[in-house]
Amino acid sequence: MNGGLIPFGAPPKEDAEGLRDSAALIRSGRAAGASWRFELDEMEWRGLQESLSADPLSFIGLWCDGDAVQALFADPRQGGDRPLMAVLKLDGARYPGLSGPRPAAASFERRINDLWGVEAMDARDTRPLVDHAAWTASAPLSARPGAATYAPEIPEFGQLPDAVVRSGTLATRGPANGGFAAPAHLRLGVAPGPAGPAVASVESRVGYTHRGVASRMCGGTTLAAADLAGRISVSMAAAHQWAFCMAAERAAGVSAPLAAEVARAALCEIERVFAHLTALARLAQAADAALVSARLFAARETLMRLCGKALGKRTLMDCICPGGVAIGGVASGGDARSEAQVLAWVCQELAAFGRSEVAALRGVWRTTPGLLARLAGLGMTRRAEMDALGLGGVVGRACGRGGDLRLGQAAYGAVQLRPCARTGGDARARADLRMDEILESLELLDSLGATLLAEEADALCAAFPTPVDPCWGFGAVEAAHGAVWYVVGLGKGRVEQVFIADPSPSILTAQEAALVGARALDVDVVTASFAVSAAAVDQ
Amino acid sequence: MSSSMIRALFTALLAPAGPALPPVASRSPLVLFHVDSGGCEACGLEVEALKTGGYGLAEAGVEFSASPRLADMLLVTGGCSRMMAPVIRAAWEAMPRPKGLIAVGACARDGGLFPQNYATLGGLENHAPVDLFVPGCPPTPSEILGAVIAVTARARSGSTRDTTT
Repeated sequence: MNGGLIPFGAPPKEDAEGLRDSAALIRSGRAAGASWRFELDEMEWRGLQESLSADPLSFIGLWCDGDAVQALFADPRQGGDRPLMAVLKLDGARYPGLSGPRPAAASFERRINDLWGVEAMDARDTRPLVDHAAWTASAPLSARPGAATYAPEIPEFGQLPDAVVRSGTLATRGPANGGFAAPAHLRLGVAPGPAGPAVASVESRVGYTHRGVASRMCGGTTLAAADLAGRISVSMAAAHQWAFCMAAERAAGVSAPLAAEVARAALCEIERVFAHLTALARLAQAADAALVSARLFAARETLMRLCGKALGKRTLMDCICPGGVAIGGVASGGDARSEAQVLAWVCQELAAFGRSEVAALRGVWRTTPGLLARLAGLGMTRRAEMDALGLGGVVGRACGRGGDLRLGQAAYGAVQLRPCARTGGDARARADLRMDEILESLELLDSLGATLLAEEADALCAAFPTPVDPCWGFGAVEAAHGAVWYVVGLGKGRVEQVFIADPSPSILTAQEAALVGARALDVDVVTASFAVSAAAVDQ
Repeated sequence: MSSSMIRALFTALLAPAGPALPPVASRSPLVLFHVDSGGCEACGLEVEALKTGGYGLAEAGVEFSASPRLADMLLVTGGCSRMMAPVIRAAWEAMPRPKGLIAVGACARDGGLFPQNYATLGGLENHAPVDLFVPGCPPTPSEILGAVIAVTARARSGSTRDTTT
């Protein structure tokens, strides 16, 4: 060290292996419409692809808009909620993929290939994700969609392992099994094992509920786009709407009143309780614990009826709108004080309900003979795999991964939040964690309700004029199943671009890995413990 | 598969054939088979709440089956994606006659917020003769049950048209 001056704008740092710091590399690109968006050329993008393998930068999403591919990252060294976006203008129908260093990018690359016909080089997985030749065109969103291809009568799947071909059986689940979850197909190769028939190969086929939500949002108003965001998956409706509105507000430079932010947080917590109760009830059903399942469904019904009576909506869709909240369907002009009071009343009723009924329910959950033992050791996920996928939410936190976006949010500033975590990584850890999170959320609702009452809100919705000049914003919300991110481009008074990152495809990947080796008898319990929303995978 | 092909397919499948049968909705108990045809899961969830939330389903003479082979009526939620159309067809073919079709939610009728595009057919309205539409986004369990009971009551009193095959 010669102790010389450190010049500003220094070239990106290089570590011992000569790799550059990925975040610095992205920042060295040309600014593209926002302080966190940078355009890279192909050489820089390739440099990024190389540097990611030895860099902690978390991958969030990868999208295409026809002209460019755009990758979003968050720097865990800066709290994890400040993103960085790298943009690569496409030259042809291929780009250097990112799934090599970041396995979570695989589902995004597959979706881009299906929708835009743009292929990732060095891709980890080249199978189609949502396009299984049932659409009216291939690459339907590209400027020149391809001709429709007709699917073979029997769907094509990968090669089965030898053990299954020799002496095993095929087990399938879905897409129509009389159940109530969104349709998906699971094809399992089952081979004889030392402890009975065990799963040797797993292939998930999704795409049954693909509706093209993001492409439908483009070109419309922000209000219409927020309605669509609420219909990605019912278990994350409020979270998706909040994340979309947060991104749109950041782009337009509008800030929602603090009382509205607290109301949004309260709605998200109610939704978390609702989603976890659903997941636990279905898990108990799969594990043949009929009494526990019935009580969990009954608790969920109580919650839904309460919301139905007080807010007019049993599911919390369309409560959040750009600029604030619209409880009772009144976007603005309604009596903000009474709206806030109604929501505060719901929060406190639910908290009281938590102290009595849910606490008793937890006792039943723990003491039902054989239930916890049935779940223990099933569907094991490993910390290293979750780290590689960058998966948070219940599945990530159940094997000891930290991280909760709520910790950095202003809406949660006045309440005491202690994110729950477990280290088991099995179905029992996930179930216990859901139960912990339900109780934590109900506690939070008590405080959020008190905050809402104390806020004396004059308005729960700020005016939201959609900008004419192009602008970009991002939003991130901790939904029931993990972090949901939105990047929204506004301009010409409408929504120009929407990019959505949902944790569900990564949960599906984790589920596939956890099913391998499971006893055939345990398959339904393992899948119920992950509670993947196929509707959120397909979008 | 083009929408006209699918329409022709559904029409052929749902066309009356063979001797006249009593209306399916007059059956007791009326057994339903649920298929989510590609939506946001909200309608499916409300149907689940109808089954598990103490709405007196058994008293109303309505049951859910895990197999279409035992079902009297097919209950469809979601906007009918092109990938689910053959699945709905297969479920319909597996059901014994007489049989009927219920579309629950705005999506199942005309696509709701998800009208026809490259991946969805935009509901069953223009693709199949539906016996009962239950509007709402999503409808409540009481609304779904109320609509089903109204149809069964009409059928049992003999005042319904026989739309089922």
